[in-house]
Amino acid sequence: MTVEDNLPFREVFKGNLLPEFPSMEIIEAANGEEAFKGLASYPIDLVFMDIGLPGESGLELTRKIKAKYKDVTIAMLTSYDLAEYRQAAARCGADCFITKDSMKWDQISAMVKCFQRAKDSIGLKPSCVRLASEGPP
Amino acid sequence: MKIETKSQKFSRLLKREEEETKRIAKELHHDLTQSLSAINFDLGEVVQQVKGDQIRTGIENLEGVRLQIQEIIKRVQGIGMHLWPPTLDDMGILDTISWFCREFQETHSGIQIKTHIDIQENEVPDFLRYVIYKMLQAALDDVVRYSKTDLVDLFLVKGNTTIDLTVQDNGQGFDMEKEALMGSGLSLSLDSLRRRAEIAGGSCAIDSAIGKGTTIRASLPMEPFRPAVRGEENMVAYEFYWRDESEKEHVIGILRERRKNPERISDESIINWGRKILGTNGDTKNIYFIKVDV
Repeated sequence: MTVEDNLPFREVFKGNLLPEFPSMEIIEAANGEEAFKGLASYPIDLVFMDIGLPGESGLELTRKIKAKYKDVTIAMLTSYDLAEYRQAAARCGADCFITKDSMKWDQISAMVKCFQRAKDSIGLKPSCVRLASEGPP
Repeated sequence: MKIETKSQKFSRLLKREEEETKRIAKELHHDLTQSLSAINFDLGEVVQQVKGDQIRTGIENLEGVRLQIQEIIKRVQGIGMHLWPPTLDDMGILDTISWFCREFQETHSGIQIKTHIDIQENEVPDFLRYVIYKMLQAALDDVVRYSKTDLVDLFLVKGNTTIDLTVQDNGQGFDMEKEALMGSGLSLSLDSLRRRAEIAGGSCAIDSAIGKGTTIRASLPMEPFRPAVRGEENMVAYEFYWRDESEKEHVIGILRERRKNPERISDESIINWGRKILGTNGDTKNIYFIKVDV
């Protein structure tokens, strides 16, 4: 699931992932309410979460999602690579932190592949997620 | 010594605001537009190269375009961070102060900031976050311009009913009376700080002496500012404007209605208030007001 209020960014994200993972379903949410609807309706494994959302921030939303769906992996997406954001993301329980301006598709793709492989084989949360999403190059 | 009238002071305040607006507009319209035009041109070249089967060259040029776009993203972020840091909404004032002080010290490596925070994020009301940030930004801007200091102590503490922000430096200090009479840039900036605190319903005291550094203490109420009410009546305020020779309009100031008997208030008496704000040397013929409910 992508939680992102910017429609063009959501479309680019989905448009890049879908051709590579045609069997995967990508749910889109523009805010916290839609995110929780998505989580209640689909067995979501991985969430790409923007921080700057209308209303509740992505940080607070991550904290709430983790409290209710502890097995969901959340990758925090932000335009600002600040130490304060990284620390806040960790405090809220985010599994990794990705900055939008340095984001590379092969990195995102490797992360999703790793996730899918681990899930298909042993049904566990992949340990490679954090490695695949370490800070900017 | 030049003594500045109120109208001159307002003009200088307006000029400063205009200069800041102009700086941002220049960055947006001139610098960013130039960079985007360059990207547009480069992309046109890439299209031609791909059409002409110069695929490798096209790909190399695209990488250059990507780097240019990254640079623009950083610049736009910088402008946004300066105006309204997203950290204020996403995390709050404490993380914003942490970011701001770190950035400040990277830019001004000769000035050390010691922060003394004695308040929790959830104790800072939302409406005060921006006020505190702007006051801190302005206070540290003054430190850079006027103090010649190498150390700033920054305090943010919770009082009984207020949040108190103190910015203290060990710099050269200044003669407060002299600066006020001269209507210097420093005096104007400090007035602006006081005004910002007052708008939030608080106060701001400045203490300085030559050779003894400067201390700025702002005390901001944790309850949102509400004008005094008489019974259940709505209060009104008057926004005063001045129209200059080129028909350009400037805000002079805002006055709350204070008279006990509303029947005694006439358009003329309201305009007289405006004249008092503008000062004796101002052009009082071209002022007008808008009555607003508070």
